[in-house]
Amino acid sequence: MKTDIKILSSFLAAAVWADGEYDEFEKEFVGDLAEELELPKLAETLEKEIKATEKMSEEELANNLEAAAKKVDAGEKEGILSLCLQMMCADAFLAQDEVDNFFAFADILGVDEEAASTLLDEYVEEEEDLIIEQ
Amino acid sequence: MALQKTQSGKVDKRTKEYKELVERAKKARAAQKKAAKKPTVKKSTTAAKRRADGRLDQRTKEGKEAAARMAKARKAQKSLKNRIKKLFK
Repeated sequence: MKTDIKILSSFLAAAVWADGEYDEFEKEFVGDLAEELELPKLAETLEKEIKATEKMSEEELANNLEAAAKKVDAGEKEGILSLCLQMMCADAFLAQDEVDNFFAFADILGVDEEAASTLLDEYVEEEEDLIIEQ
Repeated sequence: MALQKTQSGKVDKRTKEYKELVERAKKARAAQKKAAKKPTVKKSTTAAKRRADGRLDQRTKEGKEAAARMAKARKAQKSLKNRIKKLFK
């Protein structure tokens, strides 16, 4: 992975900020992710980012993400978006505000709507246990 | 409401629920863009509600079991590994 671990953590921390709690499912996902990406310090870096973002307002978070997005490797924008989605859905639920946030993340990262939509469709198709809430 | 599946077990994306979620999100974003508002991530009210009403509580089954199955599948089917391979070339 070419994007800096701190930048990746900013996005994952924003997903936690939106969710309101860094729960056991998200922690397990981060553990798996750290292993797959070979980033042993991911959990530690993410926890620091979560602390830094937890008191942020919506606007401060938006500014923080806007700055972080500029540092995401151009070839990894969709990958980061996918990881935000998986983080938001780690509890097995996908609801309207999570879909709204998914498209907000896409916009911030500069992933166009159609590409984001395809990514979401593929994820929903693959995750058979995902519970869609109206 | 759980998403409907096709006979092959795949999620049927033609279902009203999922399509409506996506369409509403796209419309909301289009309206924000029209108003020249920058994209913002918002606090999820449903995530908090899920915890408050016990759907994610250990005493309830649906949420916990589904999340545990997803985590298990992530490892067994290597879904995370495959996504990473595909998206982080």
